[in-house]
Amino acid sequence: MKRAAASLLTGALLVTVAGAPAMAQEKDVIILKSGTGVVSGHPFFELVETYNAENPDVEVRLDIAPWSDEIWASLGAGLASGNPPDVMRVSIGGAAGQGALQSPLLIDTSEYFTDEEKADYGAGIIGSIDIGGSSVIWPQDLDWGTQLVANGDMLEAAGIDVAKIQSEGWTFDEFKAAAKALTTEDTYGFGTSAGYAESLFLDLGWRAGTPDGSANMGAYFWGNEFTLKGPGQVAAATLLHDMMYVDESMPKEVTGLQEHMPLLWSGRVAMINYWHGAVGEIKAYNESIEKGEVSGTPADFNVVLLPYPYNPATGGSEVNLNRVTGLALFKQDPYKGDAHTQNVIDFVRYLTTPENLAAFANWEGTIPAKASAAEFSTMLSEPQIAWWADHARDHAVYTFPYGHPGYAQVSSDVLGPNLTALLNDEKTPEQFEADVTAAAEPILATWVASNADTAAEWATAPEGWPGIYLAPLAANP
Amino acid sequence: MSSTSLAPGRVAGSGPDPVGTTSTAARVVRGVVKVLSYTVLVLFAIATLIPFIWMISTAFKPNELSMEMPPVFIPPEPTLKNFEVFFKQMNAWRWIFNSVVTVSIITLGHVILYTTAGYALAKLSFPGRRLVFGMVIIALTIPLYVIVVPLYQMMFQFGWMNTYAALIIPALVGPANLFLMKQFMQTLPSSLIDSARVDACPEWRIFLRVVLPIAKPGIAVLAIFTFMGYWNGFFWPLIVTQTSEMRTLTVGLTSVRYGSFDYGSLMAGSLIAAAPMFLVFLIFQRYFLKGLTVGAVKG
Amino acid sequence: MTSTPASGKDHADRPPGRPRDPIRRLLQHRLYNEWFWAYLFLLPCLAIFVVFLVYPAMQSVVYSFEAFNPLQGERRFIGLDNYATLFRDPVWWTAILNTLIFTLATVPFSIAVSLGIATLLMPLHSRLQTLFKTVFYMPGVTSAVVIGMVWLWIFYPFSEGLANYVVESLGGERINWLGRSATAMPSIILMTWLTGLGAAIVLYMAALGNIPASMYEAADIDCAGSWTRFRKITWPLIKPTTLYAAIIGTAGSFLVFDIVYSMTKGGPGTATTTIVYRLYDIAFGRFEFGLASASAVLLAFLVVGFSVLQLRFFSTDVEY
Repeated sequence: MKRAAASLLTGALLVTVAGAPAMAQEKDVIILKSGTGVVSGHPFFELVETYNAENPDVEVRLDIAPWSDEIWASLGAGLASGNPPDVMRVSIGGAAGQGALQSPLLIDTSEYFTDEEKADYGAGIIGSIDIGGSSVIWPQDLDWGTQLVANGDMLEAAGIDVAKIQSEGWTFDEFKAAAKALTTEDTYGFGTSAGYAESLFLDLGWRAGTPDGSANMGAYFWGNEFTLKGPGQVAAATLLHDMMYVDESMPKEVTGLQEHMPLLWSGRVAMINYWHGAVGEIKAYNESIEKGEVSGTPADFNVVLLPYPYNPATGGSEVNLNRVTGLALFKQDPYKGDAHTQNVIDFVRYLTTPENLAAFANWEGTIPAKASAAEFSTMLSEPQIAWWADHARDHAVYTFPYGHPGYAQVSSDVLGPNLTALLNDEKTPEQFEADVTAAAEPILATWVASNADTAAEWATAPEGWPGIYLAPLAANP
Repeated sequence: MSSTSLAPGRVAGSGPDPVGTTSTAARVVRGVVKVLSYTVLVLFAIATLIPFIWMISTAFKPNELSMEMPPVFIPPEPTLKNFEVFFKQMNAWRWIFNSVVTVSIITLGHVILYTTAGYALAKLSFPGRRLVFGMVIIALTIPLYVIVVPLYQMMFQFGWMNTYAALIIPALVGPANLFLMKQFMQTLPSSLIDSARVDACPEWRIFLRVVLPIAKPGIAVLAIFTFMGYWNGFFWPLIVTQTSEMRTLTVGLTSVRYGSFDYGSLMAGSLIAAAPMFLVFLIFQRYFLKGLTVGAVKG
Repeated sequence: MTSTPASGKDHADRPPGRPRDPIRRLLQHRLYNEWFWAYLFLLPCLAIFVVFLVYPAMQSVVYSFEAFNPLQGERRFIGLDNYATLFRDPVWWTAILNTLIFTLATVPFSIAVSLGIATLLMPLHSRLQTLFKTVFYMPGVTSAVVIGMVWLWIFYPFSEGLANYVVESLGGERINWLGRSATAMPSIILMTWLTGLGAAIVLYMAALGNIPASMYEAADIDCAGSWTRFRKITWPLIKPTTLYAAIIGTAGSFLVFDIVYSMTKGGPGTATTTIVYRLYDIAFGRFEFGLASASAVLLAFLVVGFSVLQLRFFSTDVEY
């Protein structure tokens, strides 16, 4: 008993002694929070470690978790309790989900940008992070959505002029014909999966003239009006349906697949809808097979990126997303003081130096937002991705950063099942469009009725809508 | 099943056949039916077994072979590569650790809580006994899904979100286990306890020295079922963990699924998740089979 | 009471040392001691029940009358609106229908087939019995997630899936099992048939083993046929087991979630959306806690209601 007490005392003493220096110093603590795809190897770990070593009077604590709804929920909880993280990596849409963008605790970053920084980002990016007069994030990287990823060898063999498509784009009909030409006995021209079908459909509908939203965040429904209807939708539905059941250039098994990338990897389809990171993913996969880390057949074909087709017949044109991801900065309540805020700004500046920004973007597989970071970017060193970045920028349009909150239910209850029925040949494209409209409008109306305040925010569209959303912006002012 | 008075060669339960009154045709039909039913039985068993065989073989096969048809059940060159990949890719070790630690603590908690409580309900008399038992019955009818939303909120309020506390403490709720232990304790002879009481043995001593030793089989059943149930538990750990580091093995597996077309490592992980349970089942079989019957079968 | 010399073991005629002080007498009274320990033993687990079970259950009811979205920070009383929303929601009814179909398709089948298999196994050698019992019980000790992944391979829509391989070998065309609304739920049902038998088989074997052979011998003497034996002797005697299996099985089927989540995510469309999956979607997909709680309350009613119905229906002559 005595011995136990003695060891307990010694232990307590040691702990106090060890803890004392830490307590004596009183560092300013900065909390950096982020979601991620994969945790291990995330660049923030090293960046934070280096910063802490070089700045002994500050301690940055890193809180990383895989992307999930709970990340956003915890941000919301933090804001509600007056204790949000100092810095959090956000997509504007995600942050909007819990009212972060209207929170008085959000720091207006435009108050801190220098002129050089603004020029480095470019007016297009600065403009797209401006919501209601204040800049809501400190930009890190860009998201230009998905496009078509293709097996270049197959395209060549079928005589398809990739260069022409990459410079001039292609219409629905041209795309459909190409898919048919690429279909042989063992391969299909195009493939997707149940999980990606909806975003594919929205992307096509948008480029067929339907006012929509970023396929990742959902529709806008400005004026609280259901907009996913009309000839553009029918055209997109017809394209997909006919590819499956008339041309048979797309496998019917699509609705039973959870992911479709393996279809491309294994050479079963010639084109899929995916993101530009596919280039890097295939490379990494091949490398790890070579190194013997993973067993499998390497995907040894020439990867080519192509734009989605558009449909001029229904008023569509070649347009593209313009979305910025970055760091949201928050104050706490009670306010920790200007010195603390300055520490936070300094830290954020450190994270967004051209080299660090590029390192981060490289790991994420995205494109850095600053022009000065381009030379360090491995993404942009890939010719296909460099092409895609230019193309996307040239065709970028104003995109509101987040979708209408009523969209979620429309998507899961109406669009999802009906799209599945369309792809299973249980509905014609016209039926599909009619059924979706008939079912979605009441849902939207109910949502508006029960969420009057939020609905009021969506009552007026930005000036010039939908025109500004259906045609590329003039070259960045 | 004794068969004392049956004619030799007849298996008990095979149907009455007073000698001489059944035609050959009926006997043939009976025989055919028997053969058919046993074939069906074997087919069912095989159908149940095949997915597991495939899982095990895919875990040890190089990836190219995993999707081949007809299925290659015995890999020509078994490899441990998939396990390597599984452990390298994500927080696999951490997941296993989380599962082992949380489930062990939960099981220990259940054993302590419900052995004592079950004993109290079964063998001790005290005012309010009926009330407590009634409450247990009511608690039995409330599935997790009905309370998951407020429980989730509670985790936020307590600040337990994404911590071991959230994984362990709410999981200590187990009215079914309380019921099980009560039923079991009731089968223990009261005479032992009574005579111990007469000997002026204090209650706690009675519990420790008299009851526990003879309660071992019941406790074993409780422990095994509880461990297995929570090891395979999915819904609660899914919503209450936010970072990959805190996930349990079962939940972590689902994140390996997406972004990986590598069936090999997926099956390797699945095997690691399932193997402990197989082993536990095989070793402690009679407890499993015994435990299932408590409460369901008379006598 | 004769006065005999005090011997340590002879307590029959000497009450345990009777203290003079009435309070001490109370404290040492057997009953008091018993109560104390009873409460002590019961307190921790009851406390946990109250905090983590009973209180949340009540909160669920409270939430169900509110519009409560934690992300948007709103929370206000709206009466029965959530229930009205559910009643008007076609997907909610689809979920109920899907769950009912699943339950009706799996529970009776499982019970009947398990009983059949148990009967077939009874005459076998005990080693063989254990072998079969183990094989059938294996899926029961495996998590639904693992089972789901393996069966995703079986149901892979192209020719590399085992099911399609079998179908095509028999001359058929490959089927998009989990992709088409018509085949998605049946696929899950089929999978449940092949993975959910173990527990009931073990139960029935124990129950069948408890039937004394003398019962059957008596029947033999009366020249009863197989079917009559079953109907008049076996079935009534295993009724408690059947009741137990039915109630547990039905409750479990009503609550099916894990398998849907790991295989189809409620899809295609809403073809495999079950009640609990819908609850999950509303609660953690849309963060509408109020609406989700309303669905939880309704779910509770359904589960309890069915259990009570089954108890009524089956247990007219079953004693516990």
